[in-house]
Amino acid sequence: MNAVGWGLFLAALLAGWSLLDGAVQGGGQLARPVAGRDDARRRTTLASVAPYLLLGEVWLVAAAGVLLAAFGHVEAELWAAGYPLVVALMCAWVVRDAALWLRSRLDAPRWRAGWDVALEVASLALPAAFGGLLGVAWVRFGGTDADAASSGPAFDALTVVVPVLLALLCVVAARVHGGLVVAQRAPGALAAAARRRVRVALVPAAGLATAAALAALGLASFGATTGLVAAGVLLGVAAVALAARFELDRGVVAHPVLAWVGGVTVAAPVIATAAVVGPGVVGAAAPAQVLHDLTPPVLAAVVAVVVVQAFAWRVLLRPLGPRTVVFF
Amino acid sequence: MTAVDAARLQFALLAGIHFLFVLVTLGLGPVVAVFQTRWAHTGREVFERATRFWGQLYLVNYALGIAAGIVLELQLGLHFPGLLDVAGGVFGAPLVVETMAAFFLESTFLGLWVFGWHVLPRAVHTALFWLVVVTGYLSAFTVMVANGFLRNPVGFELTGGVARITDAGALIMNPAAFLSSMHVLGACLVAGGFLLVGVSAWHLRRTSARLPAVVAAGLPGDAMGPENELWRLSMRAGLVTGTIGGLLATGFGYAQFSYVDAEAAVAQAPALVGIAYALMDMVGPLVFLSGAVLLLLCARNALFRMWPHLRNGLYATLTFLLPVPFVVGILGWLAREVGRQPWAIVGVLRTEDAVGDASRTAVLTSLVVLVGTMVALAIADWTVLTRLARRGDARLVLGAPPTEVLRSADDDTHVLTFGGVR
Repeated sequence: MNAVGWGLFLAALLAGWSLLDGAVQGGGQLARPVAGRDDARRRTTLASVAPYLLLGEVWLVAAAGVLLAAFGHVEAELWAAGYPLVVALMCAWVVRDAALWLRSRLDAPRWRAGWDVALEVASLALPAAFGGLLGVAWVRFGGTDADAASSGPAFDALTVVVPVLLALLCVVAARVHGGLVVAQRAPGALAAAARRRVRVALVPAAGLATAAALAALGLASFGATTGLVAAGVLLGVAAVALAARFELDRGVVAHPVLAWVGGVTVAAPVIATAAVVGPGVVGAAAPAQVLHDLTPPVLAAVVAVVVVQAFAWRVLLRPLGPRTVVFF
Repeated sequence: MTAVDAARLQFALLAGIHFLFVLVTLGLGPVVAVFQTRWAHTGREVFERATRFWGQLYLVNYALGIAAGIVLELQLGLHFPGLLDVAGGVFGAPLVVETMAAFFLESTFLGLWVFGWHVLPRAVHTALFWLVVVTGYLSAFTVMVANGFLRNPVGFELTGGVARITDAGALIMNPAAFLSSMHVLGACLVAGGFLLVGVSAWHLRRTSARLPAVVAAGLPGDAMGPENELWRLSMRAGLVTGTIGGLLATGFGYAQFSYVDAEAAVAQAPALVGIAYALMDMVGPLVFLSGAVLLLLCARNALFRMWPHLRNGLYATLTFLLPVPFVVGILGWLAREVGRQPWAIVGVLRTEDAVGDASRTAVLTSLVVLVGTMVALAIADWTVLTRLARRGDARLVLGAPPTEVLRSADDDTHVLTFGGVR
């Protein structure tokens, strides 16, 4: 694989993570509001996103591995520019995981309630930190022309606005996606409560996607021409989110738009980022020889991973029932 | 403290925390796999309980192990970008294989194992856990290949200050990777063994307290009673595991001196590295010898039938000694890393040149935040592990049907009815 191939591979891993882990983030944000105080209802909500945890978060670990091996310079520069965000990402990630694994291990109500609060906060902070880092990447690797970038307050404003917008978009997108996964897998009453929360989140999601699209156009005006593609993607997502809201308002629960809106919204920030930073990141890839040497073991691994994960999803993704494992 | 010191200290603390969980994951994994295989093979209920009890401890430990590992992976780029600039092409290769091939698969298999419990056929379900163990070991080995390259760089060439692989075979068969992996594997099995033995001994010792009638009669408990079958089984399994581990750790520990210059390493920090070496020299063989003696005592169950006072004293000692392999494991890791200084990659890159330009304040802040978070979570995790270990095989959640799990403690009705909802 050449640098472009590795770049697409990295984007695919990040999009996969957003799709799978986004369900857990959304479920974590919504477990308290959707399920109320009842512990069994909370556990059922968590059980509906539980399989996504172990099988999802590895996608980001793998992406970090690819970043480290094939795009070491990008990682070093991005981490230096977004230092506090990386630290926040790590903290939110470990707290989220610990909250899910540990909450149900002891019976004390205060122990469980405490971890539920930690889970909700961390599930908000994790996509926010990730989105913020995507925003930093837009500004750093967007290919904006250096003269334009160094001149004037307009660009300085974008360096703050873009990370904030993408952070908020990632948070709301995870909420929409996770809520719809709960609605799809959990029993009736929980599903209805989850759908109500999703309905509320869809308009902010559309608004944030539109604002991010405008920011992408702003970057494009500074020379990041592929920002136009990102703007198109984000506007499309905003339209889908509004369409989904329309269906929910009509009382429809089974519609193709509702089946797709979660995944599309949650993957959009990554896809838009791939469009904006693609050329810059690919240009900063490791030497061709290194990429060439890494290709055979990684491709072999990908084949194995795809087979095993496909099998896992076939086994695990069924509506909750008597044979569902409730561990979290 | 300079930014370099703060970055090193942060990495050392986070790696130390991570390693404590790795010891249990790699040490307990094969034992759970054997328990489950025997359950699948014989269908005996005690093996099911053993699988579920130890599997649950394995999972709670694994949860923080993966979290700590993630933090560690991001540390390299955050604080040691020079390492990626100079040797990313060499050092990155085993790490990308680790994340893509080993860890990706390991986590997927483990997710299937936990959440496919009631869905998959027993044989497939058992095979999945063996795959978790194999990929876990592969993951550890690839990390040791990366670490071994830092200690004993081979199979590469430097062109224009950038390293690239010339001989992948040499990189993999590097004694600093292979011998040290076997040594670490031994240490992990010792830790797993101590955990199995320590927890089982705790339960066997309080066996008299468990049966009120026995207590009332003033009789010592019967470790040979059927209610203790799980703990006798676990104790024997732990002794076998720990003894094999002691042998591997000792043998491959000495074999490592084929590439490690012990005197130079000790000279680097005499107090720390010297003490660590001395302690490992003592503990390794001692674990093997005492493990062998205790295994001999398993003949005709002497270990469970001997004079009660002696037996209980022995059990108390075995429980008390549970932290030993963890303390020694951390010392071993420190000896390896400190002994390599001042180099990040021996002869190629100095640590001070590998560190990025994050300010001292930033590195110290992230140290406090990240290490504080990890320590707090680790303590919570070990609290849970202790409570679960003490609770024994009552109310196991792993592998229980959902109706049983969701039944609230104070109320006997099922809060939710599954199936037929839609």
